[in-house]
Amino acid sequence: MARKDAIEVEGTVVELLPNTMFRVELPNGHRVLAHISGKMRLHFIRILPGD
Amino acid sequence: MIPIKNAKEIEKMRQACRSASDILDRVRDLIRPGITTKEVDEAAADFMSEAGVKSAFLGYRLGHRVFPGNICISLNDEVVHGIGSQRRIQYGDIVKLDIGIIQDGWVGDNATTVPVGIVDERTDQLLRVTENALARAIRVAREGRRVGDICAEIEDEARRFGFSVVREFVGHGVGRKMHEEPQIPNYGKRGSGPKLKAGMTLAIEPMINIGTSEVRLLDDGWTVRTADGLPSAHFEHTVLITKDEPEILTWRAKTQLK
Repeated sequence: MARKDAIEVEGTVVELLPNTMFRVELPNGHRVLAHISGKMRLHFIRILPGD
Repeated sequence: MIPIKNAKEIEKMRQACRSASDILDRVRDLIRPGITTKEVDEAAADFMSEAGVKSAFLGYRLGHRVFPGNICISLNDEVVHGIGSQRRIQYGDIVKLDIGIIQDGWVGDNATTVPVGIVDERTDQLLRVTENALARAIRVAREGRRVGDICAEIEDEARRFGFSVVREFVGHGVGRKMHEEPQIPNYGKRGSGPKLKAGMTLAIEPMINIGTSEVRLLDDGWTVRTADGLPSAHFEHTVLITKDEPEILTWRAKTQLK
């Protein structure tokens, strides 16, 4: 079964939210809600398309 | 982290993958005009229980959705993740069968596209090219190469014939879980991505379209079809990376000896 593609992008955390969630600004200016992936790797944030 | 399997784990993977390919073989033999995709799905479930294995797809969760089928069965312009239904297979269809099983805690995953009778020429070419793209990809899947090398082989082969590759769905590592690292897109640059190491087990699965690469999700929340309604083909093997020739773990028993 094919896996839904997840994209990797770098962004800047602009706001801290509860439950280890963050508001992240991407280089293209979009702001997205992100959660932490792996063990505290802030520079490695995974976002599903559509998020 | 890409899991590396030790000798014992590889043996488990061999067994799971052998079962997956045996079941795919038996299911393929059922494909004929008039049978419903639900009947095929149910027969696959019977084969799995006979073999003492479980479907890796049934109950699979993606977000809040739960996959209801035992296998994925997708017709014509459906790319992947089709669900068995009352639809009857017709002469001239192409049927994508994707079968993943769990045996003793390990997952084997493989897929093929079956033409029902004689299909139109371009569709027939699509099938041959997609299968060949998989063969080319497997050839470079060995220690020291990179994931991007696999991706580029698939993309090159598709483009050479004017076909396009699906970008939203990707191949993947497979082992204790159906989806492990790395992701293996069907497009990419040679020399990019993680390095391959002996002991990795990867599900490589080109999804290639005649027309646009764009896809849509049907209302059932699972079935993916091409945006332009033109046919799509899908072939998949689970492959063990070694220092030398890759071992195709889901190769059919019938033709394995060389």
